[in-house]
Amino acid sequence: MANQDAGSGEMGKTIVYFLVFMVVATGYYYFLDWVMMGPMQNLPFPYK
Amino acid sequence: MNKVKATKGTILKVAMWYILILSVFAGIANWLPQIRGDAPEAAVAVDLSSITPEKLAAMGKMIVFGTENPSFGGGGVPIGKGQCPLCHMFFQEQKADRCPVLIGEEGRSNNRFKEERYKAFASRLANGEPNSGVKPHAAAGGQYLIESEYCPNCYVVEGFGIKGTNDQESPMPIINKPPILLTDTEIVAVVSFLQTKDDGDFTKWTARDSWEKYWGKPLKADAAPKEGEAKAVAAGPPIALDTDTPEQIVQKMTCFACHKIPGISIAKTGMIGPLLIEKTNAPNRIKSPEYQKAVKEGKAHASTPREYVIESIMHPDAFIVPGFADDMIKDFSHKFTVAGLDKLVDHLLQQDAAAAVKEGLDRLPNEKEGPLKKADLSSPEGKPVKNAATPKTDEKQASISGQGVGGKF
Amino acid sequence: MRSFNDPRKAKIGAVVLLGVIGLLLLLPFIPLQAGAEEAKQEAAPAEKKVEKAKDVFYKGPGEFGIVSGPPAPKLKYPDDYGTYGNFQSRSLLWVANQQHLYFGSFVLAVPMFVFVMELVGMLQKDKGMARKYDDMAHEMMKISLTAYSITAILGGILIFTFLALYPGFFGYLSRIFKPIMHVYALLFVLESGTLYIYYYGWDYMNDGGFLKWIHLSISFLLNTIGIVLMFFANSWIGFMMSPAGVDEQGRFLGDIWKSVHTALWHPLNVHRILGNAAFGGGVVAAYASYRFLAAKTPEEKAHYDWMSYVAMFMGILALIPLPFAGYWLMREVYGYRQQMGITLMGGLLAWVFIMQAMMIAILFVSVNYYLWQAMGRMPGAERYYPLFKYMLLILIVATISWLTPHTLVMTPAELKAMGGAQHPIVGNYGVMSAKNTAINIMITTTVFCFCIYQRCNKVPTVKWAALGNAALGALFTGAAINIVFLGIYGYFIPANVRIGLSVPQVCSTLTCLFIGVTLNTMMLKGARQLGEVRWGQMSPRGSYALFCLAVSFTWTMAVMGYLRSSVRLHWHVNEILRDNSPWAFTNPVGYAGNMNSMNVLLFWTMLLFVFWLGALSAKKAHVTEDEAVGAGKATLPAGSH
Repeated sequence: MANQDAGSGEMGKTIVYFLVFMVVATGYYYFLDWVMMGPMQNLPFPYK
Repeated sequence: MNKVKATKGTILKVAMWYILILSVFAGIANWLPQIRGDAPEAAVAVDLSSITPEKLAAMGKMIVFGTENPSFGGGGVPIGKGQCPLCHMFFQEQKADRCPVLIGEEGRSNNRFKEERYKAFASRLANGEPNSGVKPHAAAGGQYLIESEYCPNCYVVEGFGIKGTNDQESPMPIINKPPILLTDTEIVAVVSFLQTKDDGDFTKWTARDSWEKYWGKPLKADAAPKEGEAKAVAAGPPIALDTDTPEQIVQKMTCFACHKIPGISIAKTGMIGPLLIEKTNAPNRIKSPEYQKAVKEGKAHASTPREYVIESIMHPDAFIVPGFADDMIKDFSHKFTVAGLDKLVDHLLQQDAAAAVKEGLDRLPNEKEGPLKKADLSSPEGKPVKNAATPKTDEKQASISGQGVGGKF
Repeated sequence: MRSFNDPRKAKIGAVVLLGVIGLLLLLPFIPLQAGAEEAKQEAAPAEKKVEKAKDVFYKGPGEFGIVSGPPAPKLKYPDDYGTYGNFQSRSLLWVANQQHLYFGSFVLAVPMFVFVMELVGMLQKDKGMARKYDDMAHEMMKISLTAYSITAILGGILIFTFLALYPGFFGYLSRIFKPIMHVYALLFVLESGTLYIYYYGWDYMNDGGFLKWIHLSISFLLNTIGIVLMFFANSWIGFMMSPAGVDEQGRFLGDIWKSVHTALWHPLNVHRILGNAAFGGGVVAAYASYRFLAAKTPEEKAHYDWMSYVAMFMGILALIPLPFAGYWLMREVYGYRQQMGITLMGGLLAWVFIMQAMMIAILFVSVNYYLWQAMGRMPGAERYYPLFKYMLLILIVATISWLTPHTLVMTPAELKAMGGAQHPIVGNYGVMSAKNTAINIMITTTVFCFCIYQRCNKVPTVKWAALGNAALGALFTGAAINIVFLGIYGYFIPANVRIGLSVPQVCSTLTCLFIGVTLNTMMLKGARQLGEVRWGQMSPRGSYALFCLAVSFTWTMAVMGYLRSSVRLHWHVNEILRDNSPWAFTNPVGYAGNMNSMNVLLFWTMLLFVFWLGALSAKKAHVTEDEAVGAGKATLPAGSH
């Protein structure tokens, strides 16, 4: 979602920010996977 | 835009659009596989006197799959009234792994009740399992199968219990209660199917006996058969019915062509099969080394005279009496009704050497046991002894065990 | 402002009215109390004769109830069933039930919307917008008024159908729910009264202050009554699916609360509230779309374009938590009877879920398509057009894998050619892992699409715009990667572990939804506008997408209703009262599909009549409305100063 009105300097900044946030987001989603998967494997009913 | 026209045009266009979408939806619904879930027939009034073990097993198959020829193509599984295939796997082609696989269940059932784990269940539930009130007490494979239907919690296969109950509680519904609500006879039919489905071997069929032994009472027909129903069964190929006398059964089944049977007026001349004095013969046959060998080989299964006689009729090649050929007709399993079979077996088990001698009947020369002249050498049909090897056989022992059996049944 | 009364008296009167309605809401507690009293009275004199029996559902140690009703009858055909000619009684009842349910849902859902709309209107600072919301709420209420009387008529028809065709079953049910049924009727009267006061008091109480708040409170009470009514109706179907409060023979055990509060009651309640809200949104959106297409003036067009957008938005808001309610319901079904759950998910009725999956896919594709069309009214949206083709591609791929059944029904020859029931390549898209991935990707794409829609006529001016854009981008990219990764990972682990994967997948989607939309909204605060939203300038194709959305909602409701009802199989009341009519069998999905399409068509035809009535009375007020709109526009700059 590049900001069309932004100059090239802005663009570069956005890319750097994006990479930083990508790391944060990946960490967050990984954490989510890690937290959520445990308890869900012991459902009280068989699932097909 | 022409505004007045627009209104009517819009209604029409929108209506067409609706009809198009709805047709597509209905079309897709019709394109999907169409499965009609028929309500289970109100328990068919099964008259035990008019059904053969094979028919009983077929009825069991019907209850399980809802069809006589279940096909498992496309991952679909036909589901019958008993709804068993939802969870259980009966055949390799069928996919179901929620509950224990039932391929080879007959074999396993003979060991289940001997397990320590079974004993643990039995002692824990000694006061009766709360939902069904049943106390686990199976003493044979067939009884275990019967018990499992009336009381799924009486033994739970490891790994198949409700989660968190340490495999002490089964997710299976009690089969004789809603929603499945099978009748006693239907359960016997299902167990008949289970016992015979793998190889069609009816020697292993004990469902009805097991039921009666387990509950200690005779299995009664569920409901009076509708008028004309019994007759309908009687039509067609000859079938041994409950209402027949042993004499009639022997006549219908043409036993007299080969066998001599005391107490049956037409069966005095058969020269192909052994003399049928089973009060005397059966206990000895079971003990004979030849029979024990057959048991070890897994061909024969009887442990009581009654089982032996039933096996001999239902599955003649399980054990061939020494000295005879495997000549007997092998289609009796669908010619006898359960009750008709009972009647004939009862009669045969009452016949002993004395009865034969009284009627002047004797063994054939090729019978290993030799002629019945130890007690009565003056038998007119006395024949020379060819095989005198009749170890440990004497009338007294035979009649005692015969009586024992008679008392039990 | 009108003031043809002493304002103080009006205020007091309004408060008293509110109090009376509130007090009448205590009605539902009467049967519980009465039931208990009755049981006590019956128990007291005949102490010796009291027979106790075990509850079929409440299995606790002390859960023995006093037998206070006859056992469930053993119904016989034709004695206990009625017929009309050669029609299948059940199909007739099906139509009666479905129509009543549709209209019932509609009149339940509309007040919910109206409540929210009125509240939103009251909270608007911009007087023009406030007026707009208020008018819309008022208009919806007017439609609901006609629909309300149709609901009552259909309810009457339904009861007569029951009495005529299923007297044995209805007799049994009404004997148990006797006290509830009376209260139900009384509540219905109360709701009618409240509804009329609410609707006809609209203008009078619209003083922009105290009375308006009382008016809103009446709306709240109206909704409460409606929901309690629905809960009661749900208790009957809950009882039919998972009976409680009776013993094995179906004898009532004296505690009406237990019969009401069955295993599936609350899951059904929650599921139905959400479902109704989504359905109501769909219907209102369709109504507005129709008026939009038929509009004669640009003002009218603008109004209905906006209205359809708001209604669609509300419908989608209710739709998003619906799968979770459905999940809860399924879980309770499994808990109640495992075998019932398997009949649903893996047995006789499993194909219906394929149908449902298709409906959901259509819902999401419709929403996306609508949003793309709707961007036509946003100056500056052109900037985002190149993205659409990629989004469409994602949606198509997701839809295909979502729709591919795990196993297909084939001829033996085809089976042989494929080497099994599962296609070596396509088969993989059909398994659960792929389906979850597909639906989550679809929802995430929809959320993304909505974020674009929000900003397409704006340029963020907040200082952290670059930062925000990067965060949004990372949020969505990360979610997509995570969802796809979990989907692929699912192929390498056993099924019982795989189920655990669906939760983080859903959480990723929800993160996008909540954080993404919040962040986006924050970024757009005080944003530079590239132009006003040109309401009314949407392509008609957008309206047709909304019709598709509305029909899909309606149809999904019907098909899931068929599913819910079919799972009882051959029982009227599960395991208690057997269906012994010739129609005890479960219809195949195709027949249900035909019935549903027919029912949906019938419903919309009747609804068209309702809309037409609404338009008829609107024509008179048309001139004043135009003036009002004009006046609103004139005052708008003044208000925003």
